[in-house]
Amino acid sequence: MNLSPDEPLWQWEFIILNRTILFTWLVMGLMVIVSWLVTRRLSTSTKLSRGQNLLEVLVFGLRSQIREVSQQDPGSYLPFVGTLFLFIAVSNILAIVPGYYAPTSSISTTAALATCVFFAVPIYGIAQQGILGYLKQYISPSIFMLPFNIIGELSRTLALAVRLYGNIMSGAVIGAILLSFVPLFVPVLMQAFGLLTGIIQAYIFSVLAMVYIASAAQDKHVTSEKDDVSGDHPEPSHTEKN
Amino acid sequence: MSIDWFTYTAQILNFLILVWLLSHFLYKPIVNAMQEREKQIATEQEKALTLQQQAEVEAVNYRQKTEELVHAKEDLLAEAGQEVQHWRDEHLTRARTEIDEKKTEWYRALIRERHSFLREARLRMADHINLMSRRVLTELANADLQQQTIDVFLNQIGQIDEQQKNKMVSLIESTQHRVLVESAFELKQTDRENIVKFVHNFLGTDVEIDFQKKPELICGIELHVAGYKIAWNIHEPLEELEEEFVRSLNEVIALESETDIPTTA
Repeated sequence: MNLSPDEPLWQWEFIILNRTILFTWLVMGLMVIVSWLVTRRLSTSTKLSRGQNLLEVLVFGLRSQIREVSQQDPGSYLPFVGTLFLFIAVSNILAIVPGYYAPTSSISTTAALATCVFFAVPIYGIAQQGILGYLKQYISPSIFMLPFNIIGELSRTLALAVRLYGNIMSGAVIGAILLSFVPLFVPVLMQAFGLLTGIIQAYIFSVLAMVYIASAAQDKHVTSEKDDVSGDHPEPSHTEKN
Repeated sequence: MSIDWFTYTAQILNFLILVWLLSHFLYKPIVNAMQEREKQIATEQEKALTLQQQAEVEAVNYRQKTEELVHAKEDLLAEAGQEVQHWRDEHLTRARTEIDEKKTEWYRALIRERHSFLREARLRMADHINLMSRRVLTELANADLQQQTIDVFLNQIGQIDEQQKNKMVSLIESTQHRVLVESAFELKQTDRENIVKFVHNFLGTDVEIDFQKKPELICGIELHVAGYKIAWNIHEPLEELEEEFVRSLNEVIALESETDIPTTA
């Protein structure tokens, strides 16, 4: 039983083409084409097409979630976090299509996504509060916390990758096993359950990524709020956004 | 479970490309459209608020103008009422004045008519009395009314007292013994002679008597001596009758018009 979609379908030198990359391109192409088809004729009035309505609901929901988690303007986080959620969700939802292998069931894909989050955290953190401000949080509250903070960074990245991979791969494995001895009805139930799991995992992955990024980018806000409290401004910080 | 490093790298690249593609084809257009719509809605809401405020201001203006119109209408009605009242009073006063003038004129005409009527009535009554007296005297006493009148006249002369008689004699002497006798009827020759004879005897002096007919005396006869007059006629009884008649007539007219009518002079 071959459970990994990373097995090469085609190979030339070190360049390989496997199901993971192939179905990733398929998901990417599907998402981009749908987006292009809908957004090429956008309406700014109150009458809008169903596709635009769907995408607006999606984007609005993403922005709301990002704002809720980060307590900041979602503008700069939306492309990264939103794409994480949409890619993982679409990849998982398409799992009900026969012959399809979810790219997220490959540890290579989840590790790649977790690596993107791993690098996105310092990028957003440095962009928000500068390199010194960002690095200072590794020795916070004391310098003795530095190794633990570094281990925390690495372990949470690993956890991100393994959690998503484990959930999706396990769903596929359980489905395959059940298919071998209970071929009727039960796999359908498991597929439906897999859809729910896939959506939940997409949500968990993107929310955790947002939390990590926000925790790196919000330290400045915490510091500025402390300054405001200790200074002559008794009012709540104007930088805090709802 | 092993990581394929080429797939790992390719997936990182794929993901970054997907971020760029979705940012370009999905997030930016959708967010821009939503913001544009929000802006339009905000603009329309602002316009609606402005229009609502304008409408409220217009409504306040409209109410004020309506109240002003109501006040103006009341003022105009009051003014018109006063003008109508003034016009009514003026015309009533004018009508009363005209009525009073016509009434006065009518009274004057009435008085004139009454005077003429009374004058005519007096003449006719005198004529009737004359005729009746003649008829009564002729039928009952078998005497002529003229004769009776002459007798009464002569009897009246005879009753003059001595003092008057002397005065009369002196007046006759001043007029060269000329005496004028006027009568309503033509005196017969015998009557003239009787009168001349009686006057001679009564006065004791010669007199020359001129006789003249004067119908206005109405069955009367008068003797004139230089402004002194001895007369008998039915003029006085007629005047008394006229006064009584006028008084009765005034009472009747006053009862009919319920207005005081000035008495005739």
